[in-house]
Amino acid sequence: MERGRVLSLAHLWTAFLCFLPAVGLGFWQMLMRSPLPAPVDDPNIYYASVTAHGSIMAYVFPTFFAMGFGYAIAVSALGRPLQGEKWAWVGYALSLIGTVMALVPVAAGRASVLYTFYPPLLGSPWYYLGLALVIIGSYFWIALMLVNFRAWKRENPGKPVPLAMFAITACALLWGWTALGAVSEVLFQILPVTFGWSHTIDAGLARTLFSVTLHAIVYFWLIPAYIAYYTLMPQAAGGRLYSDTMGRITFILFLVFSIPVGMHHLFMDPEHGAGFKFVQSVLTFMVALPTLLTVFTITASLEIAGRVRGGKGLFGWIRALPWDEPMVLAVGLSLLLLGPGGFGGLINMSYAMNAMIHNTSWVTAHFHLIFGGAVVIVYFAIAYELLPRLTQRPLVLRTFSCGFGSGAS
Amino acid sequence: MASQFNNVGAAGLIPETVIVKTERRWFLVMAAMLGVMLAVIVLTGIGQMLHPLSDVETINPATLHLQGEFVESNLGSAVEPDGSITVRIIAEQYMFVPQCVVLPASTPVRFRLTSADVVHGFFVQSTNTNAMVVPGYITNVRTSFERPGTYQMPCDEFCGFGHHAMAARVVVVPRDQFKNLRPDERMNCGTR
Repeated sequence: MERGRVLSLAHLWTAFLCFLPAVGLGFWQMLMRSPLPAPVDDPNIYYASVTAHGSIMAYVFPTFFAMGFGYAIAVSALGRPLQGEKWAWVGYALSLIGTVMALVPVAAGRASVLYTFYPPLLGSPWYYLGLALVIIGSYFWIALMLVNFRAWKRENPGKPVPLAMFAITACALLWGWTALGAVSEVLFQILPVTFGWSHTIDAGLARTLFSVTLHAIVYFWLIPAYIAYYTLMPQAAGGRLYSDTMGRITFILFLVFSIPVGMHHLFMDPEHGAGFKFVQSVLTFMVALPTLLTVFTITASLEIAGRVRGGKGLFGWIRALPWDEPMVLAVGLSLLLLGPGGFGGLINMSYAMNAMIHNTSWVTAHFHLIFGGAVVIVYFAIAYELLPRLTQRPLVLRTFSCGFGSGAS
Repeated sequence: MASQFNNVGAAGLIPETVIVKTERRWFLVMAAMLGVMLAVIVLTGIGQMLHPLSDVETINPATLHLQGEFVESNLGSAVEPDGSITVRIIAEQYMFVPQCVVLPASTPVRFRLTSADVVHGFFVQSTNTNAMVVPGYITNVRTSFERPGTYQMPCDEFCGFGHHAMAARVVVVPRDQFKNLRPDERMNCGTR
């Protein structure tokens, strides 16, 4: 138990320590793109910075966070010590080594290919090897989630696995499958060329493989946040989860429909025909459903909490919610940002309509609303929830976690 | 921290039948919303031919300059027998060739682009003409310009350290000012 806590803490701290420089780079990039004066005005540093920012935010930060959160769930929701903790540390070490290996060449300006790689553009092989290692490290976590899931099932035959464990296992499986696209692009197409063993890359195939990863990865980022929506938030708000079944359906829908869905990033590409693009559009419509179901269940759960706390009338329950709880405030804010982010996505995925916004700042804004708005805010709220339990110390300066002194309660 | 993730359902607070009923209603409304959007895509696809680019054509990027339709003498605007325009452009680090193309307004235009090196983006500002240019493939985009004027045409996909400087222009002139080209004649801003 003691050691399980250290394991989770190490992952969470690594995630947030990587997040810190990445968010600073993001701020500088915003200055570069805006009419405001930027302290350093150099396009080459800008491209290196975008590469570092994207690589950390897309691969390193969410991977470490999901691993740490997963171990915490396995221990606390299943109520048993983590099986295979040694292997968890091996995975952690591999991912950490990979992170350093990837970021050093980026900082040296030798891998400014952006986190989306864009072959035949090439960077230092260490960059790709490092990111592959981050993902390989996370495969240990995937295996451990399955092992612990099954161990609990064996001890509790016939009982449904707690929703949080159910969801984090779905998240792990989703990641295990979806990461294969980028991993095979790196291992079989990019690395052989950077090492000089091969001299050509089929850019169309590379883009297709990468897209297998590049949309479902968003659900890999989102599922930990959704777990907080479904399991941590109702308690923090003082209510109940509206429906456990809807939660499970949501996570299964994610797992099933996210699999090939990323090829909708290629609507404006010349290597796929109209029929295939249409199929991708339809699949993406399917995967919008779990998010729309979540919005309902979470709003309903918040309403229950508000009414239990004495809120009356059509909107009175909103005022009655404990807005000074980090989790409640974070979920409230994240739903506000997830809304426009998600509806923007409905335009992106709408087949020919994609031409209006393809490669414009609209897309950047779309995924930042999802990632910054929903994912990061809720990751922070989860940390506020977990850290006191993991360190067994109360949160110091608790009120600052909400950004203001006293809430509506 | 034993039960922090283990929620009791809302069953004690709200009757099970109410939960099932409201959930089903929401599900149907959302499914209907997505259904309507999908129907719009299908109907505009059939009725107005609104599709993303969809001709998959391949080409050897290593021999672009030696043979085939992307040799230098064939780049720029060409007039087809039916009066429509075909524009052939090569995208390469860090320029488009030709750097400036001339087109008549209100005329069907077909852009044919390919890349000599890495992935580039083809985007004509303030229009929906927007596509990827991938080495080994030909990007085939059909459009037409109603308003005469000069349109910026930046590369909108990161293509290396010089990416921010990679841009061309599209000059759209009124139909009567567009030079009458012979079938084998090609035109860009320089040869106008």
